Amino acid sequence: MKTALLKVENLAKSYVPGEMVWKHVSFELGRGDFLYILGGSGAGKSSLLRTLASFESPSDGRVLCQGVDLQTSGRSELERIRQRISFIPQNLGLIPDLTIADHLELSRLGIRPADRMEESALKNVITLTGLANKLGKRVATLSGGERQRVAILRAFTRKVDLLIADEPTGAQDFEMTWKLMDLFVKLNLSGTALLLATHDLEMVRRLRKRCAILKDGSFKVEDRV
Amino acid sequence: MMHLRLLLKLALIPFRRAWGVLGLMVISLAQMFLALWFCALLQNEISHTRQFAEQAKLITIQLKEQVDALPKIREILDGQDATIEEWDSEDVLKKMEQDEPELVQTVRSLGPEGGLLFPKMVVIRGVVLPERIEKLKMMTEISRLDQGPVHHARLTGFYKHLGIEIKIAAILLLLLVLVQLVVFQRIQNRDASEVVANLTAWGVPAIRARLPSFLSMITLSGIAALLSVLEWGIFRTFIWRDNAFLGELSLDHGLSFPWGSVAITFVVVTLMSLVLVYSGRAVEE
Repeated sequence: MKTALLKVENLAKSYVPGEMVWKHVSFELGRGDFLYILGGSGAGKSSLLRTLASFESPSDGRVLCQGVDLQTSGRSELERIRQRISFIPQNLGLIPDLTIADHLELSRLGIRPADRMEESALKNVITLTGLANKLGKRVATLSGGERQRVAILRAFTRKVDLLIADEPTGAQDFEMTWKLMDLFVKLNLSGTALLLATHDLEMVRRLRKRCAILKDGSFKVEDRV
Repeated sequence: MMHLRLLLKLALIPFRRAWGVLGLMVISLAQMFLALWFCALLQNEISHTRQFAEQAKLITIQLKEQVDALPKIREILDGQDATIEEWDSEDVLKKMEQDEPELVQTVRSLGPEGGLLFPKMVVIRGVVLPERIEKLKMMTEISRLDQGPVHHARLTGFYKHLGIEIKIAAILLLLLVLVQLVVFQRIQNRDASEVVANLTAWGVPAIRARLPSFLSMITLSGIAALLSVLEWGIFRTFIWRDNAFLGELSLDHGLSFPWGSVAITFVVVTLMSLVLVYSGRAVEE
């Protein structure tokens, strides 16, 4: 039997006892799958994605990534899993004092050369994101949109099984949004599973991918919007 | 392995963000190190002086004739912590003049023959090994050798207490250095968490993810230590330059830099930094 890349079983989260942010979250994601997570502001998308990416613990339920329970796994196992996942958080997780080039170098630490994105492919992504002539600039000097693109760029530096992105195009203009979405789709077609949180219904409609709706604490997977 | 350039960049983040506070911290840490080096220097000097004061002897050698036995005596006492003084007949008479003026006058009235009544003497003060004294006794040129301890009881007592007080001061200074490290860890905590979160998010093992934070601490201590050595150099060149050696019972024998204590301090600082950086599991991991 084939193991699901990501298996979520009856997940629930609460920060205050008795008040669930979301509950009964269950779904499976295989290799090359694409799932949107839709929800309004404050619906709990970010906390759900952070939990799925192993940066937060759920209050209940479990997340199995490549058959490994993220909550009970050991340190080294978690490190191995994280090497196979790229996560673009909403706050971008960049260090303002470092340059774009430093961030690219940092995101390639600890992985085998075979797991790195080919230089030519990476160059293409850098050009496409419009950051080619800004690689030596410190992140602190970049605009909000550019910072978001740096965070996306980092995710493309390595070959991963799963990319989790929390509203990755929220600070981009229309043209750049579609350029970036094109990149995500191409990555997905090459076999990487994608889990994207957004509140942009238009984008979800146009791309016609499977989506899950997070509303009032409940989670429901739909085939299409 | 994490690239050294990137590692250094990450380690220097706290210094870029809070250079004012950390600059002051480096200066204060340097003064603590300098005070520690002084304590170590005094401790070395005290142990040397105490040893001398406790073991020093006064050896009086009466030579058989007016022979020049000094080179041989010097040869036997080579490497010993002792001063050698030669008294000829005239020196002996001068020393006696105060207590026995009549006797001295009588001897002087005898002319050169009178001088023969008082043979040459050699006075040795200091720490001399017993086997060397035995060698001196074997010398054919010697007619008599007397020895006795030099009593420095009050001085050795004082140095003993001073030594204890300096040890206490050194321990307190070391504790202050450790407190500075704890404070630094608190100051750089947010920056360190940011770096750890970033590195662990990309699957870098926790031990390596905390390496920049450890390097920040070592950088802080290293810069402070360099500053303290520079200050030491200034003291040595400009303040102690014209110091006169006040004798075996003073505290200025060598005034050499206490490298041993520096090494011990750095082992303690490194261990403390390791404990501060690597203890517990960060939320970010």
